[in-house]
Amino acid sequence: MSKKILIVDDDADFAAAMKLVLESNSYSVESASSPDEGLRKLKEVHPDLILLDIMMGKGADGILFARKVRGENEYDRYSKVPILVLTSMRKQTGFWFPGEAKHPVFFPIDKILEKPVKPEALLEEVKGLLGAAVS
Amino acid sequence: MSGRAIVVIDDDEAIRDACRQTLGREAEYRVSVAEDGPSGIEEVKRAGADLALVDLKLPGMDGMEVLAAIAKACPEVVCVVITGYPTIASAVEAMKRGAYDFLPKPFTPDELRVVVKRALDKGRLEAETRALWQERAAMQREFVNLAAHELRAPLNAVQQFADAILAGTAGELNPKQREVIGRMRERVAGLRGVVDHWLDINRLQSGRLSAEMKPIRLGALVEEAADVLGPAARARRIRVNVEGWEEDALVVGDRQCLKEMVINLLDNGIKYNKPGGEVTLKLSRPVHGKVKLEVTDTGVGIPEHEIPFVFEEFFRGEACKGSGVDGTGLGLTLVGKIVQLHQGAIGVSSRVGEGSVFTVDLPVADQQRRSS
Repeated sequence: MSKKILIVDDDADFAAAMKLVLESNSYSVESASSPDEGLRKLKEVHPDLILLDIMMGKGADGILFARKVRGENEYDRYSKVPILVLTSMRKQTGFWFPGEAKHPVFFPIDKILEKPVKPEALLEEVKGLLGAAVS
Repeated sequence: MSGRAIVVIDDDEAIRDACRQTLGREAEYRVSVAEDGPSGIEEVKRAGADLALVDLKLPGMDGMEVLAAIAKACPEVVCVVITGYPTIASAVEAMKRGAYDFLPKPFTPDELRVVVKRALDKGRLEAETRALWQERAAMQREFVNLAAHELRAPLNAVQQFADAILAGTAGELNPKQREVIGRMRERVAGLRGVVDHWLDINRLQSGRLSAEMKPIRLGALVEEAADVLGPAARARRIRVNVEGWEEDALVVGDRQCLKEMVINLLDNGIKYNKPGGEVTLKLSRPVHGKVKLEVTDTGVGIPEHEIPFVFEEFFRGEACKGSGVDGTGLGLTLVGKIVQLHQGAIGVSSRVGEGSVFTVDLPVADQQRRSS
């Protein structure tokens, strides 16, 4: 069965473009346009991987989403789902996490990439994270 | 404290008294006095003066020097010089040097009041103009920020779609389709580059990066920059040399900014080079507390008449325009701002057809900072 990916991004077009790439590589993709919708879909879809945007809503709501998924009991069974962040926050805010951003409390995610991302790079990261999650 | 603060600097007690009495009657004036230059300058700073009345003939420190010191320490203070008729030529000289008006001795209380009022009105007007100008600049920055952010998201999406199509997600492309979409993608990427540079410059202008200042090894950044641009250099068959950074000096700065600076300089050296050319990044031993980074290329060069403009926003040289090389016209503007933010200096020398040298001087971190 194909791996399921949940995209949480408020830019529907950006999500659609990623979906094109992922679906043509036999992943099954669902998208959510807000962190709240993302949390709902998480329970319906049971994704194998989450692609997360950061700058949603009025601030960096993507960070809050990641903290909920990784930190709250309600989402316990999804706490091991890899989270790949795609963001343009560095250019938007001048704020960037040096090196690998994996702080377990502050920013509990697995990998961060800057938007836009080359299809090959996206597929490679997705494959890598899914592989690591299985083993 | 309310009211306007006036400082009278004169060694003649009679004049000091006359000024104090005449101006002291006005409720809105706070008047203080000093009898020589150094104490006068201190008083101007202490009182937060709006106006200084300065005698040109002072013992010790000359009135002209006092004017210069006030202009330097408190540029917003309006200065009026007090002078005897025989020295009216020096009053004119003082006004050339920034004094707003002069008051010839002897003067009547009315004359004093008129000159003081006019000078204070002028100061107020200037302050208002300055405030308006600052507000305008802030609004402009806000607008740029907003516009750039609003532009960035759709550009990302368009580029992502173009990449998706080029990756064959909507079926195989024939060569013509591939070329057209490839060109579309490059143009969008170029526009995104402009927006990004714009945001960077804006951020620098609003001083938001200065909080990140800490001691940094410039040599390490130079190596990193050379790594980042390695593939681009190889693609154009340009050799990148890194020289002499064993003498690794620390500079105080924002890491991201300085790296961006080196990358932009190196990127230009690569982009505007000839195939098979070279770019050399050379870091030299600190002299007079400054470390020097030279970026030398063997490229097209910059004609002399264009050199004064290369750091201007959106300036692109004639040679660049015809070369088919993508550029935002903002890279060097950004470099210039970064150098400025780090209290450094940048210079360019170039010969058309032979290449260019960009020289950046940055202050070395001092010993205390080095040990912290």
